[in-house]
Amino acid sequence: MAKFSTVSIGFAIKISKIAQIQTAPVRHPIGNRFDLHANTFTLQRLPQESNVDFKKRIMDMTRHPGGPHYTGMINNLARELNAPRQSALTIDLKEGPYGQKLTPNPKVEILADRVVLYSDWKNFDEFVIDKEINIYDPQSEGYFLNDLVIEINTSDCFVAYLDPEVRPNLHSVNLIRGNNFARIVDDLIRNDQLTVLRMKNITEGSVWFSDKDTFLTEVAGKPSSPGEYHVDYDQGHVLSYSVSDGTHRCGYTFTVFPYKVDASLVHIYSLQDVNYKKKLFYQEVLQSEEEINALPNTEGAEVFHQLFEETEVFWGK
Amino acid sequence: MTHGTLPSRRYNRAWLTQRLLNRAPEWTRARRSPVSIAQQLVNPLALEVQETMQALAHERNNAHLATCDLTLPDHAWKVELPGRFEFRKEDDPSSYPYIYPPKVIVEINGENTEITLAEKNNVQTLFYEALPTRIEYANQQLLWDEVIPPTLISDLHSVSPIDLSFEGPIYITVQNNTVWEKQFRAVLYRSKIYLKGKDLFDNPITEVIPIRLNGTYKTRQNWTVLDEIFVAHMDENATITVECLPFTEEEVLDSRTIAIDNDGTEQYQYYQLKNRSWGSTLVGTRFIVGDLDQVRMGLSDKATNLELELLNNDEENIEARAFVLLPWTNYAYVVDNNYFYVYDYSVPFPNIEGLRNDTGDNRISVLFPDNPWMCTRGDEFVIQTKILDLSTIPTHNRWTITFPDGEKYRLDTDGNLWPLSVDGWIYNESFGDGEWKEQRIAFNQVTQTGAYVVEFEGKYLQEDQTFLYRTTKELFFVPAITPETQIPLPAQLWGAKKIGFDMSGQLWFYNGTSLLKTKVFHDYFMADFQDKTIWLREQYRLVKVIP
Repeated sequence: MAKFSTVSIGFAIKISKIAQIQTAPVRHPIGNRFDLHANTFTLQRLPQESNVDFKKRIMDMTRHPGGPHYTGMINNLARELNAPRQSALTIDLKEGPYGQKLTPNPKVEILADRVVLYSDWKNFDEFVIDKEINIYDPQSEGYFLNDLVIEINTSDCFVAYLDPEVRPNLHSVNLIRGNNFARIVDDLIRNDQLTVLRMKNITEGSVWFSDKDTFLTEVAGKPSSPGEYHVDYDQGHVLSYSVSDGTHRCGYTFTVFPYKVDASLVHIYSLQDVNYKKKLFYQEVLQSEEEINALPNTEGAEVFHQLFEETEVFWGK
Repeated sequence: MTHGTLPSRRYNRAWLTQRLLNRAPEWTRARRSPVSIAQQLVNPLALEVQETMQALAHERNNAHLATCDLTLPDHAWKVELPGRFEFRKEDDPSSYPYIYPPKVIVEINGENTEITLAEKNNVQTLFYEALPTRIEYANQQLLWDEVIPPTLISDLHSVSPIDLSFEGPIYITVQNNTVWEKQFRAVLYRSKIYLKGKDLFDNPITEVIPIRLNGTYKTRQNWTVLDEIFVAHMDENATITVECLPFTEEEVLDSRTIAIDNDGTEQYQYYQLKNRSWGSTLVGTRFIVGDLDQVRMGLSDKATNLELELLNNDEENIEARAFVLLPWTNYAYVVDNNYFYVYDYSVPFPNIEGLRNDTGDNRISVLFPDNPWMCTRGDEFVIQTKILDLSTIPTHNRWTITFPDGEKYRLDTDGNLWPLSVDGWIYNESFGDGEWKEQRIAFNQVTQTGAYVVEFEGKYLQEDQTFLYRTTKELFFVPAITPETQIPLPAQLWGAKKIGFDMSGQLWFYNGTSLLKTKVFHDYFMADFQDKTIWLREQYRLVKVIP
């Protein structure tokens, strides 16, 4: 059995008191009332953002609201990542030598892979295309914004110009997709001979009236007998010979010119988008001359490979 | 030498005191005299309630994003002390354990300066109640011009607005207007000003301001571009001025007017600078009616209720050139040629020592009918009697006035001063008829600042033919305020004509041609002894902390 004997060792530990500290101070954010306001929209203050800029970003929620749809997601992501939408492009109509419109029913569509300019769009089956400009592939003629503007300016009926603050060599795929037409189904016809519709630039042949007695036949000039009516498609005026009894409805399609397009550094592509899918697959032409997607190309393979890595995908029913 | 000034925490008279005591009957001393016992008692309570009202109004504004205060602090600078840092503690074991705040030395403009601890070492006194310590030119200037210079309404169509100097609200000053409404058939059209332009988010907006009186209006919305301005139903000879900062307005509305009643009990309070022969004063005016329709019909206008003499740290008068009220506080920033002053523009509570030995003759009231109880040097002050009990009238009376420096004089009914050796008793000529003729003295020798005490001594003949002496004392006040802090201005900011805050709380100086951007610093620190952190309000390159 070991025998232990205690040995005392005497020593002292001297801890010197700090005489002074010299250091650079560190910035520390403090929550204030603006953070509480932003919390309503699940927004957070960006690093070193001032109250004024933060307030503008919060109030931007009403101007560019978020949502589970294409523009909504772009708005929310752009706001959170501090990459706000910027005004990029304006597309307007060319005027004839006497100031008249050159095309009856113009329309512009910005799709995933191209910009389509319609000189005469009546409905989804009847249209005449003025020009189509590809923007997706790097070799496309409209890949860069300034090239896209040049291409649009060479069309028959359309003119385009860049916003002075946007970078001219921005990729055109940054443009927020959409089109410049919409349908209104519930404009009111009251008991007046002249009805001023809510919108201008009405698409020809798209006007529908619920009062079939007052609005029976469309005429080119001034109506002269009951049932006749004249539509001024540019100004959005409807002149009828007789007057509707009570309040009725009308519906129409309208376009907006000049069409202002924003650019966003956030890109969102839907795999169900027909135009985007075309870029991911080789195209096979059938006997009926219809084009369908065949095997995925290099880019398509990369996209799907990435997708399979991130989530589980099931085949079959 | 430490750098930083603590607030003086001067004892002020609350504006709320009079409002509370207005519930007392009209004839009581509690309501009439600002230095009666009741008002002395209520004053500290009213100060507390005032602060609470102001905080509630501030919080109510902050509840809505559109009016949320953009000057709220959003960041601080911290120095985290190492764990083995020990603060200096009280050595004497028999005394209360006390931790001494450390010494904090920072580099300001290349010099090592020691900065002061925040007054109560808390967030309130570091961020909200700290006084400025220095003011510097921030190396940015804008060419300043009115968006629309003073223009007659008849010429307004030929003038177009220039670009706004910065985004924010627009101030419109209307002068000499006499037309307020027009009637056409059964409809009454009010005079209005229409503005069209773009807001902070490039939305096209229109704002309409119905005008009720000649003055300065601030738009509700914030503007980046003003395209067009036009008016409806106004006098062709009225003048309109549009600008980004309220430099044309002569009076500034204070920031504590919370509730505006329609029955005249709550009044608007406006401030302006006035230059007297001996120096500058800060004048407060208010509407004495609550119904602005009476004002615009010319039946009633503003009345001056307050004139504060502005002194510097050496108690000399200053020649103030410009001022601006700091929102949500009782502070005013005033500049003269070379200095920047921060004043607490509340009315100070007067020195009431002279009211001692008042035997409280409640049969007599000494009133100051023309000016409630305050006066300015050089003005005439009227003293009047109002005998309440005509069954007991004095045979003689005499007046004594005590100046703020303590000198006493006898006063006669013509307002002349006599030494105390003079008897001063005035015989009541109508005593035989059992009547009293009220006395009115126009006092023209207001030469000092401070509290004047006026004594009315009454000599009453009693039944046993002896005399009874009773004294009533009243105080009138010539207020003068010294600054909370006085900072020398850098040379670039000398000679300012106007100063003003923009939307984000940035202070601008106007020297006649351009707007100069300034930065106001608050060099204070807060020590967290438990977490061993030093909190600072400003950014410094290096901070030295010595226990």
